[in-house]
Amino acid sequence: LTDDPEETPRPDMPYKEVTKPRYAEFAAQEFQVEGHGPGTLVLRGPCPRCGTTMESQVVDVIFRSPRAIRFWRQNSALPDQKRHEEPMMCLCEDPHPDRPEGREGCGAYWKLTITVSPT
Amino acid sequence: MTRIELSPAAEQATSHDLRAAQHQQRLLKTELPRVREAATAWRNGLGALLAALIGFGLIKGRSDVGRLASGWAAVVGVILLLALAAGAVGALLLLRAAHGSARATDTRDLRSPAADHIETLASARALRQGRAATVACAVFLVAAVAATWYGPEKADPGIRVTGPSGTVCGSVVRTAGGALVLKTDAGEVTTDLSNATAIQAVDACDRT
Repeated sequence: LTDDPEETPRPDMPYKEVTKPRYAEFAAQEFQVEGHGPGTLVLRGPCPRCGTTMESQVVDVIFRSPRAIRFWRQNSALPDQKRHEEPMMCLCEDPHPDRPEGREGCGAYWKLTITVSPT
Repeated sequence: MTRIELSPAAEQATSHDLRAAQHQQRLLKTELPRVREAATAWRNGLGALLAALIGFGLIKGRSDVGRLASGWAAVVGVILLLALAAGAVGALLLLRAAHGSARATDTRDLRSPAADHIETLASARALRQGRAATVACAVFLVAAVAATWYGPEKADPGIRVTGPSGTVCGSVVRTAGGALVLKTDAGEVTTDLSNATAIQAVDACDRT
């Protein structure tokens, strides 16, 4: 990602909640998208900060009794397109130093736009 | 077919986006136990409701469908059949939602990181359908009990006596001194059997 040795992806980087514009650019370029049923996508690729392969689910609803919460919003002006902004974070399972209890990944986060359109 | 494209969002992520992502991940990880817990609660609650309804139906009122007029008895039979079918379907769906499917899972499906989410959605759907079927079962049961209580009673078998003064039909009240007392729609009627030209046992008197 960069020539700065401190910014070179390493699996043992200490946990730090940080975002940079290139994280989203890197993820948009490197992540693979798989459909896993209606309203369910899986994004898979290397974390832009620590480089560990991670998987993130993008879903339109989550069960939370008594009602499901709808995450996926159809906010496109184009009727045949669906655009969705998804906040993402590193979800790798590697043991990053200084990671607080209950947190995941290395702390990197970014935001992607997912565009679904008919071929 | 659809095409899915990824691109950087127009605005850079903020700490609010990080918290939203963390919250969503927490919800995703716990949604399957949550739907199981909800289904178990609904299963227990609806089971108790049905048990209470059946108990209530036995408290008072006519309890024998055989005492109903034949048309009503058939209707009650159909309603009870519908209640049985709805109850069985509802119970199976609620058990499916609470405990999962009895089928073995294809290993290819288990490779998907979204397997738990897909199972959650299937369980939530089974919960909704099972809840509707169980409520329908309760409604059918109430309708069957109401029809059994308030439906017209089957007419008693009677005696039709034909004499010089006409024909009298009714259920036997008593006999005394060669006279037969019949209970008719018009009240008790005494007929002299010595003058009777015909006596016939009938399933029910014609209500003309």
